[in-house]
Amino acid sequence: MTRDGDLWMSGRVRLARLAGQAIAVSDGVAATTGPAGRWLTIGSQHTVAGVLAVEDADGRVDIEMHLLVHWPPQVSLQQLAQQVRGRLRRSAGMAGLEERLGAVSVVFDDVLAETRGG
Amino acid sequence: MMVLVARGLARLLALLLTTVLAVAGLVVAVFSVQGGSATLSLPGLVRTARLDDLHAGVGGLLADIQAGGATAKVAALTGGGAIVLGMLLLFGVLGRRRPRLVIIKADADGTIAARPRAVGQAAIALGERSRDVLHVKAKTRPRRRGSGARLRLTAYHTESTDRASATASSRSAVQGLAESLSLRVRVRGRVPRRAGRVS
Repeated sequence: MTRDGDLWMSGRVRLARLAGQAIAVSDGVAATTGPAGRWLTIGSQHTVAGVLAVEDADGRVDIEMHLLVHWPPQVSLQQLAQQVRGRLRRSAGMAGLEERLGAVSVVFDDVLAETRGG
Repeated sequence: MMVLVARGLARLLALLLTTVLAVAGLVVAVFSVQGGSATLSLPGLVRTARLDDLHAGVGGLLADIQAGGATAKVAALTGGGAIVLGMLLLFGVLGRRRPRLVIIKADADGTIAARPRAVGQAAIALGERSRDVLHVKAKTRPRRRGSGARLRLTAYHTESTDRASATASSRSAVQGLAESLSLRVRVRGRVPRRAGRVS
């Protein structure tokens, strides 16, 4: 646990926040909570949209990122996903949470396509 | 900090109350499995639930069922039907259909996948770039195992456009997407019922 302002934040929520930041700084993608608004991580006072963080018994946290992609993307979907994943792994390393980060999955849930006229 | 303390206290209290409730229930259950005329005994339970009155009401039916014949068969069929209906309802409530994803890559690092709808939208966006087509419809079916999916495209074109060229241009438009997502593409051309209007 770490102290952020006056709040105690678990490693799981910290990793979810790092995942949310990795999505936010990536071009061509945005986080989506889905049609039912289920894809989010809720901490004590932090809600991270588009990220599911599941902690196992060993304390490892699996992250699932749900993305909306602007079409056409600058690179392939696979490269785009790997860029976001790489950003998260790097920021987790810098935050000292590398050991706690488990599998990082990326799901492209929706496409924002330009119309023929636009 | 106060919120955390209050939350911890509430959880502890809830745990204690449920534990007390469970122990009390267990004690009542154990003492109810005894004879005699005490409140917590089998005869006491019969009195509380008024099972004597119930037996007087349904005794005739039970005797008919025990004797066999048409009543027993109807009762057996009704019972069987109720079980099947119950299982169906349970399946409907508890069974959850997990939507399949188009797997792009899966390894120990995690999975990269796309929802079939998103793949379809991307294919439509690409297919509609061609001047030969008016409108494109896409249907994506992920493979049951492994990566990739089947993509079925319907390219609507004008009567004056050659069907082969419309399908070929749609196919070539989605080729890059198909290769990157391991899609097996099937394209068919169609003329809309009223030219230029596709629902």
